[in-house]
Amino acid sequence: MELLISLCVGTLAAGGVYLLLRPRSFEVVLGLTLLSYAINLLIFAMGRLSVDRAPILREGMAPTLANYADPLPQALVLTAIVISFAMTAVLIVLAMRAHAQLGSDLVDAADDEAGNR
Amino acid sequence: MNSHLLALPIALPLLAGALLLGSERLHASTRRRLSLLASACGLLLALRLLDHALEAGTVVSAMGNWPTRIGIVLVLDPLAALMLCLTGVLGCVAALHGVNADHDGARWHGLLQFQLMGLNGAFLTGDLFNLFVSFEVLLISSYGLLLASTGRNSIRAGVGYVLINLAGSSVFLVALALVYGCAGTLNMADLGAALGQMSPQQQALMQIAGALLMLVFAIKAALLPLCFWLPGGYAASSGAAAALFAVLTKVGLYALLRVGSTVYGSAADDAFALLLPVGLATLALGALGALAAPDLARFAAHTVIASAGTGMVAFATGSVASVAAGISYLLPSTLASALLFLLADALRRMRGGSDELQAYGAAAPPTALKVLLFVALLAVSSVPPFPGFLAKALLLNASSASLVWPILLGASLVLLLASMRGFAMIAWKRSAPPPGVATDELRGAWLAPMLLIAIMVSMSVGMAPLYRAAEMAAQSALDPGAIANAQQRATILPRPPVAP
Repeated sequence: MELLISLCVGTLAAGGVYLLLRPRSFEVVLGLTLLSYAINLLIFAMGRLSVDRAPILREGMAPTLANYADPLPQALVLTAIVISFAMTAVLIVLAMRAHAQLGSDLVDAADDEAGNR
Repeated sequence: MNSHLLALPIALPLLAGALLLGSERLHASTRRRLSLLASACGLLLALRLLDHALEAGTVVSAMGNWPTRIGIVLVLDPLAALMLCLTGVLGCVAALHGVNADHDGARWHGLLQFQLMGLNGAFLTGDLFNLFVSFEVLLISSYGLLLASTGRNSIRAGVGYVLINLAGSSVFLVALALVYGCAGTLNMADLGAALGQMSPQQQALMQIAGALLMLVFAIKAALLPLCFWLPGGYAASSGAAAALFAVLTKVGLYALLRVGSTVYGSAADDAFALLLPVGLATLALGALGALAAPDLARFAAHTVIASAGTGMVAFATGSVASVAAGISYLLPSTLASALLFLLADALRRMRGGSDELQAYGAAAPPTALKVLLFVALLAVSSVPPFPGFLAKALLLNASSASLVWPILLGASLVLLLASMRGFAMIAWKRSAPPPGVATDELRGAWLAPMLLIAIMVSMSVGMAPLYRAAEMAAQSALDPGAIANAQQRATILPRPPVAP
């Protein structure tokens, strides 16, 4: 399972970084989204991977991390998801406004370039 | 003093911001007064907290009485309190200038309050994840403030600004994941204690995480290879917003110092040794950039970079004297850059949109603006009546590396030349100012700049107490055990055991 998760994180991060370096804002938004998926998986995995140990206290089980999954990374991931969701929304609005005003989808569009494309 | 008072600098702007965003029916002037009132209360609160921190040293408050490993702690020490005061002053100035300069976006003042909340949170937080959250709060509201000044430039600069900061936030999260995976906590003081007991593999991972954190904070502080997003972004935003942005780079420096000394302690020495030349290069670039700046706002943005570089040099030298000199330099130089942003705004409005230095055919500004501009340019180049001069002298006195003297003095000279070049190009014009402008459009716009100048001059008069406060701040910031000790004192009533 460790191998699978780390391959997922690595693939997502590689794709995210590649797209982040592309010139058009649509690809950049996709890149940031993929990158944030990779990071969320990473944070989640940092609470150690375990199966069938929901972090809900049950009778007769000592409340230690040996018996339950670590709930803190899950809370961190939740916060990170909410923040990256909001940031992506801001970025999309910004990209659309830039497209409307500059007539170009390029991330660092200059005025003269924008006229040509 | 009740230690839960520490939550107020975060809660007050949060409430004010929510109220302002939700009250679109209120008259614009009521909204502005409300925002100004909240900012002024924030400043008074910051002064009260500074008073307390200078008396009591480091104070920790555990929110909701949770154990520090998983709970939220707020930390007030003299350094954090000084930064809160700086934020409070700039918040008042931005709100005041926003009142006068009529930023007509209905949500401008709400965003301003949220920005203050993020700044205060970043200065007060005692754990890394809340540092991340505060960064996001202040960034997302700074995007709003930047984009509220509509225009082609602001959109284009805005995209770059947002993207680099989003990439930085992603790297920040990776670092947090690594730290949590190694230590099982994100509380800074607990991390500092845990670092010594880790296995070599875990320590290696912590070092990688530390390098990533350094990268993120260097982006926020606009240190050399990562500073090119700053001039365009700041120059495109409105004057009041840019004046507040002048403090954003200081958040990066503050976080570098705080995380470096509290979490990594002596393990961060290599990193700071690397940051010393980076700071020097940033300073040189800021000064040269100011000399080459095409307009006044970009000039001001480069003085922000130069100030961040100077601060980095002081923090990287790492002795109490140099950090104290750095703190007492950062406070007035931030105010000076903010003042210049406000005047760039005034110049833009007088000329109807452009603050270019080399404006052929543009009229000379009215005398009052000329005088203010001259004073502001003296202040950013740290000429004697302003406190930057004394602070720079203290920094030279405290620095040990051989390159610091020539670069710091050379950069000061270049900055002074750039200032005088800028003043000559703007003010020495033959044509008279257009009639009526000075009285109508600029009425009331002098209040915030005058306030800033008054504060800077009083800082220079009161340099001795300011330096003493900065010295206490440096001592507490460089003592890795200060927060841990205060945290132990602060905790914690025993919690009832979890019911099985």
